Amino acid sequence: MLNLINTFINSPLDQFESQTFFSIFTPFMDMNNFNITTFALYTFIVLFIIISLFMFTNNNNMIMGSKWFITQEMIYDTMVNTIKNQMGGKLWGFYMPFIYTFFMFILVSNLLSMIPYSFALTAQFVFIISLSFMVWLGMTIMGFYKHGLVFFALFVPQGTPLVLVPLLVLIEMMSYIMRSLSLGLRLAANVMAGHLLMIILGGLLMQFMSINILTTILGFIPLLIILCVVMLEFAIAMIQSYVWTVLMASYMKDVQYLH
Amino acid sequence: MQLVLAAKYIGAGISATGLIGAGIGIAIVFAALINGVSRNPSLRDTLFPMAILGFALSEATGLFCLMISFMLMFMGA
Amino acid sequence: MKRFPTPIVKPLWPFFIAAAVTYYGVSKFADAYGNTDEYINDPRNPRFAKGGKIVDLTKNKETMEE
Repeated sequence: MLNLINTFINSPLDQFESQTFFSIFTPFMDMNNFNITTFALYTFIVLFIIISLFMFTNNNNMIMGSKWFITQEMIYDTMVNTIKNQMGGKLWGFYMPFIYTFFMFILVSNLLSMIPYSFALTAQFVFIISLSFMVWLGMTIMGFYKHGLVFFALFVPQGTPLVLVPLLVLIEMMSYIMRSLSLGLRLAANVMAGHLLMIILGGLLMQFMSINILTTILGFIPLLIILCVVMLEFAIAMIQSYVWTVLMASYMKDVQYLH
Repeated sequence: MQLVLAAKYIGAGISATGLIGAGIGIAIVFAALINGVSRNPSLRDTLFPMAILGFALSEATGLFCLMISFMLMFMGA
Repeated sequence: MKRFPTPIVKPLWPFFIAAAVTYYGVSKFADAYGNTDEYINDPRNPRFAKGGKIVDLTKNKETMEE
């Protein structure tokens, strides 16, 4: 618990370090997975925010929602329209809660990481890439269970001449396998690069503005530029969650209906 | 091995030039959006979400290159 | 708060299997990565909390030279 004393930031990468706040001494079994680290703490904060967004806005579970509940309805309607447009067919309703969960988690944790001195959950590469790998592997298992060996018909686009088929199947299979990695890598790389850029620019501007009074006044112009970068980061935080959702719905459509 | 350390930093700097492709790709996507909207202002329904999706996908490939730069700088023995 | 009976196991069972496979795989990978030559003596390694000692890396080189 004494890790809280060292709060200096020595390198721009320190913001992504995960510190342990609370761990139990278990000499016989490796229960290190149940430590309370910053990662666990921020996951609890995200859960608390998502639950309280629902609990504090519905007015006593009445059917006619309050004006605050319109935010939740907006997010829900965006998700329903997106998934219905992407997937379509008869099966979009079964997978809607799953995709909605991902959207809310990534949106809230991205926006939570924009608070200064906070921790970016979605910038943890191993977490996000293993999450996208789990999604991809689950979809592949579902495809093989549902279609059997006809699942490989996904790799042949419609109307290709028979000569090109072996080469095309290899290329499409490579592209399909890369989906597992790229879905998570896109999110983690965007968030990590954005946060790293903001910290480096902020540190440099702080050093520049603390030289003397002339540079303090002169330093308001780069501050406006950094403000634009921060606004771009807010937009990217929300866009990345939407992109994850759209791509997940599109992959689900590929697997369920075999285009 | 100071040479390896110097080579790491030089490599990290050179590999950041891959982001030129990301910049051009994003500009192409939004140029297509402006073209499409100016011909037929059905913006809010169909074109804008596709433009946002295209922006994020094109930015992603640029950031794959930036990840190689980060890997060279902050990782590896 | 009411719990509605939305089906979670019936449409989403492959994701549970994939989550178990991913958990197993990442755990094995993390154990193997923590025992490579670079990180085997790092004090944050959970090996030390269970009574492991510092591994002398020059010992391997001695057995190879003989």
